[in-house]
Amino acid sequence: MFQSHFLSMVVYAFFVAVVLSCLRREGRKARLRYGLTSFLIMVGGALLFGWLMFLFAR
Amino acid sequence: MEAGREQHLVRVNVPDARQESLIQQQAFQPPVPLREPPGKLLELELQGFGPERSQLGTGFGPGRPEAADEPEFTDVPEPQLSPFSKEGDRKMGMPVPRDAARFPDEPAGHLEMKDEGAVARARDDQHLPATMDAENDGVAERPEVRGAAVPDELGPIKTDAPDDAADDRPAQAGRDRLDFGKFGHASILHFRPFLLRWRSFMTMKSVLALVAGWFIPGLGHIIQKKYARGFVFLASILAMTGLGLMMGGRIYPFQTENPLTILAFFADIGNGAVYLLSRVLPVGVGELKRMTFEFGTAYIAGAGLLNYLIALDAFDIALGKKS
Repeated sequence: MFQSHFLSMVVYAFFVAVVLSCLRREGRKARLRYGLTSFLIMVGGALLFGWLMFLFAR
Repeated sequence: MEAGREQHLVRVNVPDARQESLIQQQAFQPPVPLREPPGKLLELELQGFGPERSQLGTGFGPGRPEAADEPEFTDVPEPQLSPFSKEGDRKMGMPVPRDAARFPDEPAGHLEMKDEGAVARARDDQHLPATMDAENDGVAERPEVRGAAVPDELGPIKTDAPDDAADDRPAQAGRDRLDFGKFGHASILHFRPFLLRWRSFMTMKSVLALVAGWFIPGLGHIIQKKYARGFVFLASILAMTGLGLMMGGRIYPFQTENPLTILAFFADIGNGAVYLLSRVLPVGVGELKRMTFEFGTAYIAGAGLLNYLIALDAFDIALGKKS
């Protein structure tokens, strides 16, 4: 299950975004916006950091 | 005699004035304003001892630095004062510093004396003669004599136990409405706001929400009728924990062989019931040979950390800080 590390990371980010949006925001619209933003930041940050590490790969 | 003034005079009873720790320990007591110059007050109180005691009183204890600033003492040559003082020091059994410049620190409470007005001094004049007319009864009760070795010719002296200062505590407890018994209250009063805040936090409802939210993710919200949020939390956390276990992740027990696993232990214990089950059932043992082992462990640890936040959120809702 989840042989892809990227898929594992995306699913992990999804659950974290759902929980944080319910904790930090009130109202459906605000939660949706906060969850989507945090999800994109986590996934995009992971990709960016992965490419940054690629530059220093041996 | 007023309880406040007697409490102030306890500070004079420091065996060695050069030990700053003793002076600071006495300074924890709130300073009681002394409305007379120390030299004048001690001279009045010691007049029952005769002229020798009167001159001894001018250089007695911590009042000496204050007395050095007064003009009447500057007229007296220092060589005339020192024999009396040294003799008195030997009789009292207490080394009294003669050099005021060596001890610039003033005991707490002496600062207020400089700012007292005439009204306060007039009020003290009504009290001081009353204590002096009581045939040395006031002398026997003077706190500065209690702990010192007093010669026999001074008359009967009620030298009670050295912890007579505890008698002053009920008066302070009455002012503060707190009584901490033998420990005193000065240092504990610093924690009073924290104690009151802690007591307001620890209500049955808030503690129940916290523990329930930790044990079953989202249960702290469900018991407070936050059903939608509670079930979202329950589904999310259980899904993360289940996925982590399916990936072969490990739930770490407390072990000190690898210090980094201690952090993982504290994260895993946030899962509550799942962690307890993993201690008695073969769950979360970890399959290191699987490539998803690390990610599975991260899922379980992340679920535990998120559950801490969820339980604290339920705690805040129970306190009324959140809706």
